[in-house]
Amino acid sequence: MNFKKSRMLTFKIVLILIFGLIVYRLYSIQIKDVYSLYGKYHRYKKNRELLPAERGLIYDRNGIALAGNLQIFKLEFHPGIFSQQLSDSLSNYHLKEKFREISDIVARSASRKSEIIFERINKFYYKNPNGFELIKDITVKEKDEILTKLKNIGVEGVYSLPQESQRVYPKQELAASLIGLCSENGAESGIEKYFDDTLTGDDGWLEVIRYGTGENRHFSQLERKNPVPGKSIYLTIDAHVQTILENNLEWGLKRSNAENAMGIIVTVDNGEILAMRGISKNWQEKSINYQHSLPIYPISWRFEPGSSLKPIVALFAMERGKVVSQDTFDCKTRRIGSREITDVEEFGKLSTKDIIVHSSNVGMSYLVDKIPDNYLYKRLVDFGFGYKTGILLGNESPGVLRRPNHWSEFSKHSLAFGQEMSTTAVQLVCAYAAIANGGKLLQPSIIEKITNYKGETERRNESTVLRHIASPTYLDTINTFLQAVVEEGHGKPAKMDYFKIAGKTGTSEKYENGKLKRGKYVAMFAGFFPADNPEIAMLILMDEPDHEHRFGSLAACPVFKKTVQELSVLPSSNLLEKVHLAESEYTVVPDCKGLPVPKAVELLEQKGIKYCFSGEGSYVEEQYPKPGFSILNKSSVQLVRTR
Amino acid sequence: MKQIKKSQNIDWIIIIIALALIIFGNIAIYSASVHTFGAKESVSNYYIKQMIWIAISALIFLTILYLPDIFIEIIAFPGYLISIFLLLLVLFLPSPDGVHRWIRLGGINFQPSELAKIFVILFSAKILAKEKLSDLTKIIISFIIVLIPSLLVLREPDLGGSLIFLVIYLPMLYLANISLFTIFLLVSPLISLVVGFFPVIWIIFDIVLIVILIIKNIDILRAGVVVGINAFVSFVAPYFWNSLRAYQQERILTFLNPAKDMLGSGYQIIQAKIAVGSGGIFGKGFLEGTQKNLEFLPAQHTDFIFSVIGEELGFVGCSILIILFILLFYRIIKILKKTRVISNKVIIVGILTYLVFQVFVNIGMNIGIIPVVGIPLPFISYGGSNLIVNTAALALIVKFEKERSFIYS
Repeated sequence: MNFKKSRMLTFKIVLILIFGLIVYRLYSIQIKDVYSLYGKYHRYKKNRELLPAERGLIYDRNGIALAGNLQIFKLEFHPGIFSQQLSDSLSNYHLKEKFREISDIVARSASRKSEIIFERINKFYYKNPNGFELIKDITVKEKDEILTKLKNIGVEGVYSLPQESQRVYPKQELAASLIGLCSENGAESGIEKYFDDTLTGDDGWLEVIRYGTGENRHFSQLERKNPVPGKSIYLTIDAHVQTILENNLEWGLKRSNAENAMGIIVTVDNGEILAMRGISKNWQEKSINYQHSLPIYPISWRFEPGSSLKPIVALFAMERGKVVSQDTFDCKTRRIGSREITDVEEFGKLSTKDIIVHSSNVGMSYLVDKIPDNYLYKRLVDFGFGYKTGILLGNESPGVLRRPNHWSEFSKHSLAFGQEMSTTAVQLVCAYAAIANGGKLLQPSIIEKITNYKGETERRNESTVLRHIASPTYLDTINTFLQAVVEEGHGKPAKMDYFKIAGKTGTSEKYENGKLKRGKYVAMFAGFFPADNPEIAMLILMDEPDHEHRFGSLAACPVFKKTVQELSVLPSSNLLEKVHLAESEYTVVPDCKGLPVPKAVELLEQKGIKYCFSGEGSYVEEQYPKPGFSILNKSSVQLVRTR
Repeated sequence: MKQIKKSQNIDWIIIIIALALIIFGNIAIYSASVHTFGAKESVSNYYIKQMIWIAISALIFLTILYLPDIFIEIIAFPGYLISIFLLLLVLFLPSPDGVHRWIRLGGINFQPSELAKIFVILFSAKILAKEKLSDLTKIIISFIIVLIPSLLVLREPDLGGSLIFLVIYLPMLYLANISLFTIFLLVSPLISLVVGFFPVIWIIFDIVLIVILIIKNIDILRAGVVVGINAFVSFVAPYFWNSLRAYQQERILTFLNPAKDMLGSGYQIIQAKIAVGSGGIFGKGFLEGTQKNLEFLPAQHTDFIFSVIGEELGFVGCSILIILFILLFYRIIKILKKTRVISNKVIIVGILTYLVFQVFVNIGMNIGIIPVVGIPLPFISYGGSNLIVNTAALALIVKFEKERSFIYS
C-alpha cells in the first residue's frame, strides 16, 4: 500500500502554506510595517531623561545670595530595590507595617496625608516593581529630611529626582538690572546673560525606559550621568551698600522730581564696583522681572559730564606748566567769535582754584586756551573718555569724544566745561577714582570671584591698573580744589561736619536727537571720600530734576551726602576710622558694647555724646558708630539693646 | 563490511540539520539566560543545563538507532500503557500552582505528555497500518488511543498539549487512506459543538451533513445515529453553556482564548509580537534585545524563545531558523516517500505532523497569529523532555531509513 499521490500533495501544500504564512507574517511585522502595524502598542525603548544641572548662584561680595534657584523634587519608590534588603520571610502583615512606617515619615516631613501615600505604595508596590512616583512637589529640605529618616530606619529604594527648578531673586529688585534675568526662555540680560556660560552647569542624564503611554520609568540599574552644577559668581557689589544707594536714589528722585536717577560707587584703590543702579520714576510699580530685564544704565546711559569735567581740564592746564593755582583770570563774560561764554553770575578776578570752586565757564575757557587741541584730546582719552572701560558686561557705551580734526571753533571751549562730549557714569566715576588714588586709572570690575560647585575659587578678580594718567603732585592740588568745592563752593550741600568730601557738581543741558531740550538738565555730583585718604569714589546723577533742583548742587549733592553718612555707619565700614579729624571738634566714641544700658549712658554723657536706642533689653549689643570712631560733638550714637 | 554499510546508510543530512537547530537553540537559550541591564548583568545556567539534555538526547538517539528493529513494534503497546499511567499519576501528584504537568524527580522535571505523544504515534500507526481491519474499526480503535491521553492532558490542564494529539492524528488518518467521508464524520460532532451557538450556521451545517449522508447513500439507521449525535451536541452545548455561572464561563473563555486576558497570556502575546517586530531586518544584535533584557517576556528560554531570536537576530535570523526547519521537513518527506513499510510511513507522518505543528503553533503565538498555548519550539526551546522526545522521534525516522536502505542494498 502506498499513500495516494493527491493526498501527499495536499499534505505538502498545507505545509508550504503554513511556512508561507509564518514568513509572510514575519516580513510584515519585521520589515514591511515595523511601526505602524503595531502602532497602538508602542514599543518600550531606552531613552534619556535630562537631569538639569543647577544654575550657579550670584552672590554679593559678602556671600549674600542675589540670585538663587528654587528646586522642587519628587521621590520615587523602587519595590525591587526595597525588597532586596528585606528578609524573605517578611510576612504580608509586616510588609504593610513597613509601608505604614514609610508613608508616616514621608507624610510628616512633607506635611501630606499619610493615608494617601500609604494607599499609593499599596497600589503600585506589586504593579510597578521597577519604581513609581511616591510624592512630588517637595522642597530640598523636605527631600533631605525624608531621605535621611528613611536611611535611619534602613529603608532603601527611595530616590529623589529633580522635578523643576526656578530662578529666584531673594533680594527682589536689589541691583536688579545688573543681576539681570533668567526666565524659562533662558538668560535674558545682565550678569545672567553675560556670564551665562559660567552660570550654566553641565546637564546630566538618566537612562529611562520609555513606555508606550509616554511615561518614563526609572530603573536603578540603568546608567546615569550626574549633572555638574554651574559656577557661582561673587559680585564686587556689596548688598548693604547697594541698598543704601538705591534707597537714597529713590529719596533723591522723589525729592527733586527727577525722571531718572543713577548712582555708582567704586573703591578707589582697586576699581571694584560696590554698588550701581539706575532707576526711573515709578520704578517700584513695575514687576520685579521687568526691572531685572532693564539695561544697566550706569554703563550704557550717556550724558554730558558738564562742570564735573572741569577739574580734569584744569589739571591738564596745570600739567602744561602754563598755570598754577594762584594765577588769576578776569572772569567777566567773554565773547569768542560769535559765541558768548557766560557764568551763572558774573565773577570778577578768579584764581585757578576759584574757577573750579565756583565752576566758572569763563575761567575754564581761559584755562583751556593754554592747552593744545591734540593734548586735550589725548589726555581726555587717557582718562578713559570716548572708549569703553572694558567692564565685563555687555551693552557698555564708549561715550562720545570727537577727534580734534572734527572739532568746530567752539569745540575746545565747550569741552572745557564738559560739553560736546558724552560719558557714562562708570567712565566718569573711574576718572574721579583715578584723581583720588594718585593717578591710577583702574579697570572697573564687577566680578569678585567665580567658584565651582564645590566652593573652590576658580578665578579671582585682580585689580587692573590700565595706566598712570597724572602725577600725584598735580592730583593733590586738584584734590584740594575739590575739597574746597565742598567746603565753600557749589558742593556745599554735600558738606559734612566730621567727614571731608572732595567732589565736583555738574549740570548739563539735555539734548534729544541733537536738539537742545530746553529746561531739562542732568544734575550730578561726582566725588570721593574721605578726601584726605580716599577710599570710595561715587557719582550721583539726577536726570531731569524739576526747576527748583536743576543744578547738581541741589539735586545730587544731598543724595551724595546722605549716602556717605549712611555708608560710614555701616557695621562693616571703616571709613570713619580714616577720617583725619580736627581734634577739638570731635570726640572719640567710647566702647559701650556689652555694658548694661545705664552704664553705657553714663559713659556717653560724661563725654557729652548724645545717644539713641534701638532694640529692647538691658544690655548694649552693638553700637554705631563703632568704638574708636570720632564723631562731631553733639552728634549722637546709636545703641542697640539686647536682653 | 556489514558494519561499514550500516553506518553509511545513516541519513547524515537529517542529523546535521537537527544538530544545527540544536546549536542554534542553545545559543538562543544562552542569550535568553543573559540579562544585561545597565551595568548589571545576570546569567542563568539554562544553557548549561540544556547541554546536559543534549548529551542525554544524543545517547537516546544512538540507543534507538541501534536497537533491533523489532523492538519498536514490541515497545509500542507497553510504552503507550506506561504513558497513560504516567499521565494519570501526574494528575495526582501535588503541584504548587495547580498545574499538573510535570513529574518532579530531584532537580529534573519530566513531562509525561511528551512521552505519550511518541507512543500515541507509534501505537495508533500500528493500528492504522493493519490492512486486515476495516476503516471504521481502525478509526474507532485509533481514536480511542488518541482520545485517552488527550483528555488526560486537558485535565492537567494543558489545552495546547491536548490539541496536539488530535492534530497529529488527523493527517495520519488522511495519509493512511482513510476516506475523507469517514474523517468528516469523525470531526462533525466537534463542528456541531461550535455551530450550536450560531443557529443559522447550525441549520446550514445540519443540511450539509444530511445532504452528504444522502449522497454517500448511507443506510437510514447509521445516518440517523450520525445526525442524532450531531443534533444532540449542537442542542446541548448552548444549553449547558447558559447553565454555567458567569465566572465559570469567564474561566472557560479565558481558557479557550487567552488573548482576552490582557494582563495574563494576552500580555505575553503582545510583548512577544513587539519584541519580534522591533527586531527589524537584522535584529538588535546578539544579547542586545531590550525586551529580553528588561524581562518583559516570561518564559523567554522556553515558549517565547522565538521572540528573543526575532528581536536580536531580526528577519534574517528568523529566516535562517525557518529554512533549517523547512530543510528538516523536506528531508523527512523525502524519507517518507522512500519508505515502503506502511506502519513506518504512518509513524513518519505522525512525527512530521507533530514537529510541524509545534513549530507552527510556537512561532505562530510568538508572532501573534495564534493564542498562547504552552508548546515549545522543537530543538530550540529549553526543556529536557521535549528535546528527548523530538530527538527520539528523529531517531525513529533515521532508523527507518537506515533499515530500508539496508534491506534494499
